[in-house]
Amino acid sequence: MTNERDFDRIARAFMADGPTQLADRVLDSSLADVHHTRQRRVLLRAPWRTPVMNMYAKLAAAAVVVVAVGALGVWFLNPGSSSPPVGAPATPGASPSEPAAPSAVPRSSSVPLGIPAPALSQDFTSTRNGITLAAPEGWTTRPATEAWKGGIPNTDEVTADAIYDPVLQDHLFLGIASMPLGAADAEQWAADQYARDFADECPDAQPITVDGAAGVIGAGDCMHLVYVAKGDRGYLILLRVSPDESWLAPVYDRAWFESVLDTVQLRPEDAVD
Amino acid sequence: MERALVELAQHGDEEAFASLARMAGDRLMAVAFRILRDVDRAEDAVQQTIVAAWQDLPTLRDPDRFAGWLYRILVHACYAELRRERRWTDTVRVLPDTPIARDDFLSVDDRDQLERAFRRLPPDQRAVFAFHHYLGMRLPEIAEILEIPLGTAKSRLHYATALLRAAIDADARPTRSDATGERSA
Repeated sequence: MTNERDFDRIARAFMADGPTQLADRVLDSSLADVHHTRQRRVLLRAPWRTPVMNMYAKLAAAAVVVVAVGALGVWFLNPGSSSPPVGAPATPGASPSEPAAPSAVPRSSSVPLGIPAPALSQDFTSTRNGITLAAPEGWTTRPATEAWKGGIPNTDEVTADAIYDPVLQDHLFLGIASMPLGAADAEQWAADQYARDFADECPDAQPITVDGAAGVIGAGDCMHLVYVAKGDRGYLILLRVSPDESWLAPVYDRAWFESVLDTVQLRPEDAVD
Repeated sequence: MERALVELAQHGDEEAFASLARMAGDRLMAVAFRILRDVDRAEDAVQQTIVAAWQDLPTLRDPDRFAGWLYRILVHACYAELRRERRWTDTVRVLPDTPIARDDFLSVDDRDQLERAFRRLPPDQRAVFAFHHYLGMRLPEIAEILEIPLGTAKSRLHYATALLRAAIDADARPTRSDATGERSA
């Protein structure tokens, strides 16, 4: 058994292997790319922290906001009557000779690379759960092999189909599980499952329709999760995006999850228990 | 000096940015290789990092945090490289032909086992392991740079260490024939 000190030394030696210099051609090529790349401009930046303001300052600031909003409102209701107020956003057509100013939204420094989600071009059919959907291209699929009894499954659980990013694994995956409804009412089953397993994490639920069947989906910034029932079967479909990878959330958001749900075909008659 | 260069580069000074890139290039390459274990991909990740850093530099609030911010961009570029690698190519990679300094403490077998085991690690664990064992960073510093909770940094290092240690121990364990003294007839 390797003791801790030995392992640290081995690890350091292993990590010491390898190049420590960047080839000049790579640096030159990078700087050539830089020369042709425009920097993002930040016109608005939130302060590090909200400045402490006394009551008069707060009232003055509020008054300025009210006046500005009022002026904008008047101008939008009757745009031809005068030129836009100073500081109002340019609108296309307001001045045909000048292009509209680009909007500048401050970006989080933690989202440096916009890596798009892969296309939903991989058909996935679960014979155990009786469901078909379009999965992201390149993602790994692992079918469920055992019956689901409820709860929120993870990628390594055999009770759910897992469709996951091959690199990020349990940090980015779709999970699918299902169970027979038995005597339960379909809509009530979805609401009950949500309340039992997910309401603590995400109290607000909204109705949703998946492949013509009624269900519930978590609202707000929770994990994206749907309970839906069709025929004699109840389904759980979830998208887990690890909060540790802050760059994922803007890409794999509620809209993306709904685009996956749009491809779902529920086939309870094909399910195998 | 670095702060002054960062501030100039934030306002579009390409020469200042080129100086920063020259200062950081070797470090970025070294870390990228430790995460990706592939020279070509490490070079691609560094190139992406330099361009992305130039693009996003005006959004950096505190110029004194430039180094950590750059590492964070590099790690995300490495993640992107690994995603591309898994999707479009096989995972067999040629070992670097760059001359490397070897530590006699590490046997060839250990090195091979570690190499194979390291390639099985998820990228987030690779990054924490490299920051800790190559750059010598402590976990709170790593957590701050990667913008992850300290507990997450700890668990990533823990899992990476467990897997790599198991790989070495498995290699060191006697084979069945060694252990049983099995003889050929």
